[in-house]
Amino acid sequence: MFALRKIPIWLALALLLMLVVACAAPTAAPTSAPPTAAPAPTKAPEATKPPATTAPQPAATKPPEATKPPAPTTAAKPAAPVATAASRANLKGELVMNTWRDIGADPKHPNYTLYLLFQEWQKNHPGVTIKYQPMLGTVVEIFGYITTNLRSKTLADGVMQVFPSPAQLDPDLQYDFSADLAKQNPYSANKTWKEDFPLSAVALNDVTVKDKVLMVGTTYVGDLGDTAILYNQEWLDKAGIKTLPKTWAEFYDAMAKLKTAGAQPWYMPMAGNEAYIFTWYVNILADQLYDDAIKECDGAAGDKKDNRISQMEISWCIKKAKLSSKHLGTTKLFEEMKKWSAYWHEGYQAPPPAGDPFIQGKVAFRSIVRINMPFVENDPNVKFKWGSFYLPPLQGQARRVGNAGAGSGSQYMFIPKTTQDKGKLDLALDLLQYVTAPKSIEYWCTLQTVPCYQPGSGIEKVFPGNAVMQERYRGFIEPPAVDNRVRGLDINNTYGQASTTNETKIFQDYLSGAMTLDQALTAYQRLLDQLADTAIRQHPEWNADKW
Amino acid sequence: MMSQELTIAKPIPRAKSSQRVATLVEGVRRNWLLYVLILPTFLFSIAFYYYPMASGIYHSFTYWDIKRTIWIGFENYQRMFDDPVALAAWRNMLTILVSQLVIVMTTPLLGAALVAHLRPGLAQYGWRMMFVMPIVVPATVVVFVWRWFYGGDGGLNTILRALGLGALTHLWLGENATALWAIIGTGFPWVAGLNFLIYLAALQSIPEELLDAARVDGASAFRRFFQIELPLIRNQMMVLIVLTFIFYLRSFDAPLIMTNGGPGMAGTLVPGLQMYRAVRDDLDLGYGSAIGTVLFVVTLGLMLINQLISRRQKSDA
Repeated sequence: MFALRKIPIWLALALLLMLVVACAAPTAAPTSAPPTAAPAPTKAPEATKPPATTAPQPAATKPPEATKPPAPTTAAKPAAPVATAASRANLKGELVMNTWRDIGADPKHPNYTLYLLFQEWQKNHPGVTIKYQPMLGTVVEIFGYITTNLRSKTLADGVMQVFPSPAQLDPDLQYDFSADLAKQNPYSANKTWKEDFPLSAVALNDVTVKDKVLMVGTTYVGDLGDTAILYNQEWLDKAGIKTLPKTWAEFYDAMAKLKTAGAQPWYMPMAGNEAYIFTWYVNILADQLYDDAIKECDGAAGDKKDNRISQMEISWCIKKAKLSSKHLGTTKLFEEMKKWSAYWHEGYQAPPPAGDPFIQGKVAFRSIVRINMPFVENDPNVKFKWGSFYLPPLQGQARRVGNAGAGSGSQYMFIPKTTQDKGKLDLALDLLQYVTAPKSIEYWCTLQTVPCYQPGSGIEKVFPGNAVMQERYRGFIEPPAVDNRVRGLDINNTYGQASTTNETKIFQDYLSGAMTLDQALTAYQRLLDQLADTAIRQHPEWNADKW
Repeated sequence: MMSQELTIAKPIPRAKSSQRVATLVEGVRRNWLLYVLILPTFLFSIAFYYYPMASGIYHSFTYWDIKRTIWIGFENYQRMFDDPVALAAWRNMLTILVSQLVIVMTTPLLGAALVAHLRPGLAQYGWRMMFVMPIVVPATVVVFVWRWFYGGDGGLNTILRALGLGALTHLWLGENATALWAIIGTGFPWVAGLNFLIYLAALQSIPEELLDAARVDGASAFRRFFQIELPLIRNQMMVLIVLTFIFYLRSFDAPLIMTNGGPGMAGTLVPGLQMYRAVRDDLDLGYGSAIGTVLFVVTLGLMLINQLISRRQKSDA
């Protein structure tokens, strides 16, 4: 028999060490532990060589009028503004940035300019190192990552994300920029940092909670979170469609013709990575159908009347039955989606196969967020003529809505309060002031496919004499808009993207016939009640019992 | 010669508690190295298994969103039992469990029986290898392959169209009528893998003399299988059934990857996935913990039932 006591002590210690190593190795997660989707920290990308210095530095701090065709993104780039602010010249340390996917991966993506600005800032602060921790996955997963880690206090020192969700704003956990905004930005000649944000800082409206500004954005060229509809001209020709639809009836007429011509009229995935497209059209239609409720709920419960619905306002609205399954708009929303679904692509309920069906020429219309336009523009497989238009209004006048509103580049950054605790606030704040300074924004503009323009400008003014670009971007520029954020009396905008998974599934059951309209409305009401109750529980300061 | 006197064994007097402690201390002192060696495993088990388990049970009685924890008693459980989606998820799981039970008791057993009855040699070795080799493919990869296979332009529809059966094509994962069965069908014909290996080992351990005797008595192959082999591998079958139950009670990788529980609210939703979504999407960790606790209790109950059956079988034997 094995005599344990005769083991030499060195052997015992070696065995012990091996056991410790073995135990520390990854094991199956316990079933009761909440799973998280933390991406592995990635190595900081190599510093990109700063853009060539031959191009002239934009001097104006006002948004320039668009007077030239877009500069190709691969052309020689202008120099980024010098990033040494006198007030914080001796910054030192390491700054870890959570970024919305890998912003340094694709030079043709709008986010890449931000990456160049980050790199330039680092270059001018030799004592500072930026490390990148990309947040990966679907939109829902990234928002889930941010919220989970914000609450767990495990986010990086700074977070960069596209269009913010009001549901993730939390003054207890995010740094409030309002005091800094009232002072001068060391990288700007303006009296206050807030003045660096054009159009009366409209981009900050959506990220302000009770006068606390919890995020700052980088730019003001329209809204990168805007959507438009791409059309395949070949399919329109085959279907005999001469003009793009301008009314809802014309839109249906066009889809009917396309279907007859053998096209799949509209790409509307309700599952998979692009399920947010469906959600977005629920929002757009809801914005029109709940007009009366929005007017009633905006400014309720002591909140500010600002043409956008906060989480508190929608919760009040649900509790007061202003937003409910019994509202005519809700019924109309479900019915309209069912009617519309007759023209959606085959298998819209299932996760779509790999590849983009618009690029593959299978569908005639495809909704797209402007930030994703490079994926279509730069795809060599797109041989057909294409362009964009905006969705005609379901009722009333066409009203362009965006994720964050005109005046926002939909590239927001915030600083978790934990960064302050770690003594890195100066670092993070300096970086954010640098990238939002007028000269940085000008630099950003020079590298975009769509040159910066005053919101409200017509497409001919943005792309003068460039018919191809006018057709491609018309849907994003016209109808023109200022402060056009979707008002948000919907689940997605107020309770967060994650909650929309449940909303979409109710629609799926209704559209597939697994549920009657009554059953779907009952399920919808249950979801609304649950979301409102949870929000009220999370916010005792609302004093909801006194509503 | 042994004494015929009936002797009744006297109960051994129980040691006093102080004696027991002394014995325990002495045991620890004598085997200290053993205790030291097992300590890291013990500590890690507590940290990564028992603590989360206890925490999950506690938090199932709370509203918990990481930022705040509020005691709400049985509210999460009540919500779960009142929620038609949760009930549908349990119903789906029952369908999957029963189907998997049928699967585990048929095709791998059939494959193992056929291979076991091949003459030992290259052919048997080759077949055995062929059925065992797929174990090396990660289960997640298998799920992804099948997700493609069930796609609109995936393998299954392509085959059907090639056979002139285009009318039978479906969006297998996008239709309520087919999605759950498509998930159950993943891995068809379900022969290869660990189940096959366990059955094969069990069948090969049956003494050849028993089968020879049956042959001599004129028992057909069919009769030999059902009346000799099957009863003799009953214990292995029980093990596989219990393992299947435990695995599929917890498992949600296929519904997550293939359909995210859809189509609709509960097309292929199972409680494990509902728990995952409550935690990941809704940050409703209390509700997720409640679902996890119920799953834990059900699994524990099944294990206890299994142990009871095993004991009864042993005592019967």
